[in-house]
Amino acid sequence: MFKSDKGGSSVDYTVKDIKKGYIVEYDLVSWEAIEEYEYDWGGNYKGKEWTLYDGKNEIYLYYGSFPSEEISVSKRINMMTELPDLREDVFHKDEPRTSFAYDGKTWNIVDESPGLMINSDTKEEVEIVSWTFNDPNESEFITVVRNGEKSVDAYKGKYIENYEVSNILPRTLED
Amino acid sequence: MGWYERNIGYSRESRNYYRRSVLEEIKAERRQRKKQIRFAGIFVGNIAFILLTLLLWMFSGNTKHTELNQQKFKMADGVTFEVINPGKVHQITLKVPYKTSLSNFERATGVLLDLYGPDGKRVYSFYKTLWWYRESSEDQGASEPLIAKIILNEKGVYTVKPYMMDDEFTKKVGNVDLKKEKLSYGELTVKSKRSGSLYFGYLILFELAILVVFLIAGSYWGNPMQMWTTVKEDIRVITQPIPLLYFGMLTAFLILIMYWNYLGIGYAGYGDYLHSPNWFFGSDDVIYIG
Repeated sequence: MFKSDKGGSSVDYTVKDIKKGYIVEYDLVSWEAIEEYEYDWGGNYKGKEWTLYDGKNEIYLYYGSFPSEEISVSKRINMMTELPDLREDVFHKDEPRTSFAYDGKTWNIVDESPGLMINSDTKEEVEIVSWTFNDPNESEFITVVRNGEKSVDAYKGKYIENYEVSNILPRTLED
Repeated sequence: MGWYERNIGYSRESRNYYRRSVLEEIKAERRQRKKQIRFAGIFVGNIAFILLTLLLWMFSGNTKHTELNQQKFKMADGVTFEVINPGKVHQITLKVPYKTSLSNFERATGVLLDLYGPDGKRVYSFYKTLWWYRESSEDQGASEPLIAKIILNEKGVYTVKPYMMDDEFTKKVGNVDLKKEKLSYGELTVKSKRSGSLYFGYLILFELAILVVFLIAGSYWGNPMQMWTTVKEDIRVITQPIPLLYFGMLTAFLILIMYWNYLGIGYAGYGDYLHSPNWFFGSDDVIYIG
């Protein structure tokens, strides 16, 4: 589907180098970074997120470097159907409950972070509040993100290592 | 009880107030960061330009050739030197014997220096008042020298003739004191320069003023260490439009200054280029008569 330029070596790029339009390989599938966002949580707590698209599905790749490197991949959850109670909590109480059951696991809140989400292209800033819940093994998480009065989304994901995202290459369209 | 309950409280209002204040802090940090990114390049680059301007200023006045070096000569006869670098700024330094202990010199208020070209015609005259140096000096020593700078446009042998004066512009040829052996000799140094060295001081002043503004307004765009860190973290801040504009302006001024100095604009000249020094020229209390 995509053609990489210069036939360059992927070893030159790591997750933090990804930019909009880059092609990456994750979970044996090629993805294109179609959007890039920056997150500012205050102080040195900053992160980047790319919307990855394989022609059919969208996933979200997050990279944070402070206080230690953190890389995660997540997918959007339909809150209306899968987590309606949590959604109501956020709307009516301005915060979710501290734990809930989902997907056969109990998820416990570990963090609340107000911050800014900035579109890297347009530089548009959106105020968000993010709540993170971990599963008992702390290998997976659910993030609930509120941006505005009536907008709340949830994402389920897992923490990954840098090497799991490979063959990172800038993309050029085939002539 | 969790961190939230301990620090923020239970109420919905207090939690939202906390979230709002965190967001405001983040926004304020970002605004400050944007200002730093915009101006850090100027701050650091300005310091680099101060050093560059100082270096260029230092080297601009380098001596190309020394025509005479502390040449002692009988003032009544004058002294000659040969110009081998025409069109260049020549610095003529005349030291005259001037002892405060000698009463006969009490009324010799200054020295006139006439410069004659290869054709024997006078090309320029300089005058320096000496009297106040004697009054202010308690070391009984010689007065400060007369230092004149002029562009000499023709090759050949030039002659310098100094005259002690007992009143401004009243030539006292054959001063009686010159008959005394110890008072009859002057000392002349002539050096040709690679280029002039005018205007740099004004640019340095401007650059220092910008530096002072940055230091005074540190609370607005960050202190020097923050500025330095910003540039160190991302050297590309130097290529932001505002720093580039500023550096372009300084570079243009530097090029202009070096070009003017190469041409000797601002220095006294003669012949087809007869003119007095312009007001940028620091005359060092020497009167350029023409």
